[in-house]
Amino acid sequence: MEARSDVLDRIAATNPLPADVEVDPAAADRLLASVVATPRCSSHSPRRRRIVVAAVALAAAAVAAPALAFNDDVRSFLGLRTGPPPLREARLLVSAPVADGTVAHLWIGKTKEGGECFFETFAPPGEVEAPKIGGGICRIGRPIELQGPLSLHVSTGKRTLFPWGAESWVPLLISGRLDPNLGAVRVELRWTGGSKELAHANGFFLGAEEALYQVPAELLPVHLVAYDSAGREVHRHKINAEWFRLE
Amino acid sequence: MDSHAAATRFERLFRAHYGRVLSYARRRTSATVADDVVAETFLIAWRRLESVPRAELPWLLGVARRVLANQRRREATQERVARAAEVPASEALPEGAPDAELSRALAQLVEQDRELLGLIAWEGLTPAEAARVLGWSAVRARVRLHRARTRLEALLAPPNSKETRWKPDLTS
Repeated sequence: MEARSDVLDRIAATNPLPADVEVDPAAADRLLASVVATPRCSSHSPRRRRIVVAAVALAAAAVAAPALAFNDDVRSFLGLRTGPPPLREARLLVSAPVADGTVAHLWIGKTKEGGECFFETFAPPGEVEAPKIGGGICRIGRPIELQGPLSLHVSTGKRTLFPWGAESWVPLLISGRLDPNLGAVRVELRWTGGSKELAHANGFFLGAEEALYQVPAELLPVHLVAYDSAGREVHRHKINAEWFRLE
Repeated sequence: MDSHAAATRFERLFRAHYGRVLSYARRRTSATVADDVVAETFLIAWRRLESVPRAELPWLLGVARRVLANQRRREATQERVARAAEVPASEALPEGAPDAELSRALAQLVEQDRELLGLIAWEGLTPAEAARVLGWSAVRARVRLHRARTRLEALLAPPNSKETRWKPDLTS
């Protein structure tokens, strides 16, 4: 009887590379040095980088998880080579501390073409400068309306290279907007074994949570919960776990 | 863990697995993107060093898999936006496997089963290690592997070969 060929052997035969490719030692050393020079999660770097406005960096690094309340004509400028649109004005909505002494700011900006952008910037505490260019999520020609009770964006944390060459770690960042008719005064993230109150102002919320970065299964599910002034729950939304892992 | 101990442990981990993680990424995307995926993977490992289990390689490949998925999603976004703006997308797609018949059959499997087979056949992992990469139990990985192999064999079998193989020979 003829021995049957195993499909795993056949797949292995299509392998374009050995299991362990030939490594460029110099490249490996450079990467190793750059990684260990980066602050770790448990350490708090005493050195605070001067970060002025990072709209462009954010546009390249931030994540547009499926926007629940935005129409198809909401254009994402993430990665667009022509760059985000210039702003006529920008208004600060809400701010929240993130890792390494950095503060994240959520802005709404009117574009010079009559559109609107929501986006985040990062800066050291006390240094807030209105950005001149948009990014994040923009709509061309008209404002972005909230459709439904909630719009929610999740950015998975990642290393961010700012335009002037500084490098920082931005942890998982959650931002969004709640329907004002809900009467929410407090918004928090709740997961198995933990919770985190998010900064909330002007109907918008913003916060960073290191524990949810590449979230382990035992912490799931994660909900965004809004409460009114009496402490009653007025809205609850289960966040798709993949949003914490996919960018 | 103090910073010296962390750096020592990380350097050992990095030197032990850099090549394997690089191979994993290069088999699945372009060299440029693979370098980014590897850098991101080891950055996560550095920042999460206390979370890295004893079975380091499956954990690293699991992280690399998610980073790669993130990268592909970003590329897809860039491609969509670039297409809308009539700008060509930047990254070339990796070349397909040279075995066209196998490639077609693999394409009919679900992505997770393809990844499971690739982790075992290309990366040389055991089913239990592949399970860790995919976030599955070992039992689930064995069951999925059995089903995926069976399905793949059926897809690769020539027409009527199953009947030919299993029918009793009545002429002898």
